[in-house]
Amino acid sequence: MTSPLNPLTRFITDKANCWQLSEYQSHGGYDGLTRAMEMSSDELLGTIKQSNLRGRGGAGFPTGLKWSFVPRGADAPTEKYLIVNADEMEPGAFKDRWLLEQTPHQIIEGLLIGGLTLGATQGYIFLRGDYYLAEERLQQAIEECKRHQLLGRDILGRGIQGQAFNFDIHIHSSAGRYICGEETALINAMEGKRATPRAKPPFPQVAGLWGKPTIVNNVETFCNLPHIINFGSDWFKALGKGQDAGTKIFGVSGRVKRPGLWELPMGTSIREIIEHHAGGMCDGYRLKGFLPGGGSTDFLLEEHLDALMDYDEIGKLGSRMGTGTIIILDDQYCPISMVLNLVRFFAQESCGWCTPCRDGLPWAVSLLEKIEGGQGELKDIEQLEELCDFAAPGNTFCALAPGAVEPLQSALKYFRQDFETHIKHQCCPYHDALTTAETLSKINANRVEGT
Amino acid sequence: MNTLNTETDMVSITIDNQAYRVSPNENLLQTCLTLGLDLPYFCWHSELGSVGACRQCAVKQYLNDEDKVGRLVMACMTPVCDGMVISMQDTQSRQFRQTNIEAIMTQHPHDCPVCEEGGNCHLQDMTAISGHINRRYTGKKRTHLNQYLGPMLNHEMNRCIGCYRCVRFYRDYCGGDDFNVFGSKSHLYFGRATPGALENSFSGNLAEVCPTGVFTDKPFSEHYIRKWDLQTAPTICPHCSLGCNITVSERERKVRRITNRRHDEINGHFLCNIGLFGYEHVNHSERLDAPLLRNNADKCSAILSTSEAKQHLAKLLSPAIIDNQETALNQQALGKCIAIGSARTQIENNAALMKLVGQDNFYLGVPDLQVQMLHMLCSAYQNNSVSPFSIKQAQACDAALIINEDISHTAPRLALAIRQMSRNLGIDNAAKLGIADWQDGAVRNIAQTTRSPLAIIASDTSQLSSLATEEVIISPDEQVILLEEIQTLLAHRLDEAKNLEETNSLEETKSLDDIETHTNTESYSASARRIVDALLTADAPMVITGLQSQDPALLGASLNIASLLKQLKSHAGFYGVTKQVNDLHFGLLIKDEAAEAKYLGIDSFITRVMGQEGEDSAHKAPDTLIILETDLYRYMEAEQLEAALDAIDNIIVIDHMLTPTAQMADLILPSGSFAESQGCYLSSEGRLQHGFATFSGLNQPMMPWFWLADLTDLHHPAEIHHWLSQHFPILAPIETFSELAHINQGSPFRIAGQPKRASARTAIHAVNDVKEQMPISASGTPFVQSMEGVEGFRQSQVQMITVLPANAWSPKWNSDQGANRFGNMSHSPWTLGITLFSQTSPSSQPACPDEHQSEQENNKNNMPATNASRKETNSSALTSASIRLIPSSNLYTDFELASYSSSIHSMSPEPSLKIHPSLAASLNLIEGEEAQIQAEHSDARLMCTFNQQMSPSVAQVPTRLFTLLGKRAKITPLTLKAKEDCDDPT
Repeated sequence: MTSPLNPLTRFITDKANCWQLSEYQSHGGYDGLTRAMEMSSDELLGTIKQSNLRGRGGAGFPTGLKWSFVPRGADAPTEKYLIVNADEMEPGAFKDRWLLEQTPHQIIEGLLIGGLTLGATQGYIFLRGDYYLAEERLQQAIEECKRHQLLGRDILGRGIQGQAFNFDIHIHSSAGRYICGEETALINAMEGKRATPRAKPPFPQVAGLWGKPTIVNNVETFCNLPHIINFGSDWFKALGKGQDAGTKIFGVSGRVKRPGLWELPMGTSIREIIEHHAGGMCDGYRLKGFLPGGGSTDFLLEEHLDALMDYDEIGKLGSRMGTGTIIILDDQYCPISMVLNLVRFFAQESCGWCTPCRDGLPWAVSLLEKIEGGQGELKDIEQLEELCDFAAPGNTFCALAPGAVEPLQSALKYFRQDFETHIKHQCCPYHDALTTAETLSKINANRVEGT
Repeated sequence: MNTLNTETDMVSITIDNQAYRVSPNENLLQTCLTLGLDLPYFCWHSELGSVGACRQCAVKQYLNDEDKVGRLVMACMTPVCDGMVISMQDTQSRQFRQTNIEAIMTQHPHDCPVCEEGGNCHLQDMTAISGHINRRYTGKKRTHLNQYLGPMLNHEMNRCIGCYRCVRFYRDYCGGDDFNVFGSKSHLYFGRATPGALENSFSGNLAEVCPTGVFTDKPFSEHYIRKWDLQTAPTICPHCSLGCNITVSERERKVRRITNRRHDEINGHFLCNIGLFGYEHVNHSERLDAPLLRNNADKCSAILSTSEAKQHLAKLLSPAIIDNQETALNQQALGKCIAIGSARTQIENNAALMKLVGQDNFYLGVPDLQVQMLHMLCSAYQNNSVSPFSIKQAQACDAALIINEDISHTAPRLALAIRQMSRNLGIDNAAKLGIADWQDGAVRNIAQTTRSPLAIIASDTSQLSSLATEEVIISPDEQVILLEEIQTLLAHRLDEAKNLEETNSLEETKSLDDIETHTNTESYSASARRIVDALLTADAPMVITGLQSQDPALLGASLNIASLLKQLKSHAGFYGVTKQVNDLHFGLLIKDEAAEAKYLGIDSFITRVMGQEGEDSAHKAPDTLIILETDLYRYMEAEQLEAALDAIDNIIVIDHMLTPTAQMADLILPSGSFAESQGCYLSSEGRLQHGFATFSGLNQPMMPWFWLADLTDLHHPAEIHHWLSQHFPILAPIETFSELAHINQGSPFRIAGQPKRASARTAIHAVNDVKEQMPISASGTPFVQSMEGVEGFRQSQVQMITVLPANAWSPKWNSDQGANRFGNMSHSPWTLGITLFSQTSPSSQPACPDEHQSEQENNKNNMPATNASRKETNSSALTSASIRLIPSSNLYTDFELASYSSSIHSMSPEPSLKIHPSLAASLNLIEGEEAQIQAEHSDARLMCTFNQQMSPSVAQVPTRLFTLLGKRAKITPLTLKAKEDCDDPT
């Protein structure tokens, strides 16, 4: 097998059964595992560290560094847990679903390599409850693995230094909360507790699930492991076009000609993704702005199209690469309505633990509703800005609220004109355009009634 | 576990350019509050720790002096470290705190005028401190339906600010599981799954734990009055024996509410529901408020004036007292006037009564057996063979053994401390990961279900069962055997330790094999060995037991175990739960003559009146009886008791309630309730504490000792204290309180001459001082003449006033949560109390020198003798097939005064006979049907309920019935069909 350019998606073929073990193995599946079983845990961790793999869930934390905090060796706790975060609920993100449904074995292989690296014997897949097909296929894949001694006791029948390697995987189908994507809230949910984030420290690597060392990583992160082990860290680093290593699954949604997902090298330009892979804007629509990494990232504008999709590059522009799934705002959709929709979602998904999120977001929603409903006042804009500062990183217990206000704060910056127009005309110039007169008279009528 | 910080342990921090020396063991919020800085907070609580939910305590932290930007941190989540630079006053953090409270208030209904919390509200205080004034939110507020949560709490969910303190207190701290947080986002709901009375014994604290008015005190709201119109005084809870500190609030001579008064060694921040709500007897319709003279002929009573009553008293008592004095002079102890002392009154009253009638004519108002057990406890404390622990020490210990006492019901606050104690191992595990104990959420995530060793030996499961690492459910008879095994094992370990010492010092070669041959561990049950191992692995293990089951053998064995443990582990402790607020001092009032202690309790009283069998006619029958604050019907079967009372010509009862006993009196003298009396109590850990009166008595502000003053010639508490310390040197420290008593003479607590307040507090100077102008200057007293009683917490810190304030009120901090703010309390004995039994040198004496042995003999020989007074109605029936009875304690039923409160009475369970189904089957008992109980002293009928968890060789009856019935009974079904089956002779 030559080193592939699309390691994650090369298994996804036109064949109807590409998610099955035989197909996966025919494309080199489980080669990574075989290789890993010949390596020591130190070598495995060293390779992962050297690969510069960064977490694909959105925060981009270096995976090798994260894993190195897990206590290993003779004194370490014997019970450790690996958790695949497959609770994909970020607005605009659907990349994990693709991997879950099409390449379940890739995730299992990643978990097994994680088990070898950290000395864990239990893996959990925390799956978004609505991903029925993914659950079915994961379950089938786990059964297949058990039949072929790829899971369970003494995997592949070849021990490591005379010790049998045992590993089990359990699927936890979530009851469905966006906050479960936060790793400590996810752990609480798995323990049967309320899905509220936990205080850190202790970090899960030291005391996570049931108080034991625990690694939580995104689906895509785990999927990268077999290939890093199989083809080496140098190969992985060379895949990236910019600073970051490897490939990434990018997606585009909105009014483009071909919305979809593509595995592309890290550092591919946004322009290439939108104009080449997604086919550009639909006829009659112009690009007004876009969220580069899903619903909780700051807007970027047309002028940023030549930026490279790289964690640090996008960071410099004041946004985040997040999940790498771009949401397009076109010139005929109201940006306030879009932001309202997003902030309303995040307010809805707040766990209710800390004040800026629980009470600050609904306050922002009420102001946005007021503006979008044609009853806004200029001071509402100031209040919205204040609320964005209020929910800034560090002020809240977890990253939900800071993420929630990112589209809002950037919309206030880039589309302030739209806010002011809404307020000046006491209506939404986009959606109320056809019925402006009617809307205005309704507003006036209400005012008379009210006074 | 919190040791006092010496100066060397302190670190330097800078807050708003001001340097402070502070303890590094606390978080920044607690540090700021201790320094007297006004930093607002909601989710933090000094007892519940930090979770970082509300974000209200944000401050600016700078990296160093050069850093001018800084970043916001939550003070409650930030450990204090040396060189820390902080600002509370910078614009960003002030703005954040304002916006935060404004966001919180978007959902708050602003219904302060109709809220019971108004003026006593942490949310109001914090809002004012944060500086939030203008409301900008114009959207809708969410609304909730409220729940019925039982007789103690109101529920108004719309006021909720989502701080999570209630659920953390109820579930995490108290272990309750019928209350939770539901919903999410801004639609949180704190309540029960379905409406109903909250089950946890500490539910009432939610009123104080909640920073606003979601949970409010329901009995208080039935006679509600704003906080500033209440008069308050510090005193001691009058129910169980732990001596929790309370603040009583009064208006118009009615007790309006009771709140916790922080005492870090005892109750800390929380009181049980009995303590919080068990005050209604003070306002009760059966209160005695005037002297009554009973006229037997007309079956009516005459109300007397105070002077008439005193004349009557003198007339009734004088001849008998003269007789007593004569007999005493003639070296004959027994006189015609006898008295019964009270386990619920202040020590001073018993002392005065004892002086009046002479010790030999003074009977202690509890059964003889209880007197004996109290004496056992006091002896063990006095000879230093066990170290009585405070509740705080119990909470800090690292292994505990609870023997045959359902402390969740007999000593709830101790049970709550043990609940926290079981977390200590988990807290240690967190500390190993660098997580401080105040990081509550983090510690619990690390600890998960880790539990410190807690062994429970009992006849039934209890609320603490789920925390036990070792639980042995066996009958009391089997417990004796298990305890013997534990003693033998401990004794063996002690021998080993001593031998090892000798071997080391004398270089003798006593081979270990020799010791091994003695150690025939096979004969010990696995449980005994595990319990001993757990206790000996710990640094500060403790034994907890009590008087619940009235079994001297078990108490003796428990004391011996504690004593052996103390010899093996110098930090080992003991807690002996007694039965009433002030019964322990009975154990010190016993004439311990060289030969044999005499346990003069109620049984002895009956014997004295009715005469011993075969006693000659020389027996001098008493003709006058004074009963002080004791309802004899709680201890004796009515028929027998009335026979004794009928034999006495004059019965005088001094009490504040019209008890069944008081109804038998010829002359009734009213006494003050706990809220109207001042005096000393001795708690079951041996702590002597002083309580103040909140207001003067109803119409007759009479302390019992005051009624007797002319006859005893003791006219002042100081004189009583002096008399006590002369006759009972162990009680000599009581003289420490004499000065306090002097100060309050005449007008308890409030100072004479003080003008009656006409209106609400004058608010002009409230920012600086919540007191009104001092009306009259008074020198030489610890009290400040003030409209507010004594000074608030802050003043007491600044001025180091040695008396604990009557409330936790200080400028800007109007709610009860002000008590959270300060780390250290005053160290005056006036406020902390005095522990009578010092815990200095370890002693090698056994707890009860052969007492254990003699107890068993007592059981066989002496006890039946002393109990001969009791009617043995069923003795023949009991010879065979009798069942051992054990008491089923219940918090809401067992405490005499508390059960006058309707809120508490309504929580009492239906009395029932609890029995294991297998035993029930052998007795032909059917669940839900009545059983006839023929016991040693009396009979009873009770409904059967089955209990799978309890020992199958005992039957449980309510505590009060247990006292009347005795320890053994024949139990038969009452229903016809079952009875036929049972009576079938073949």
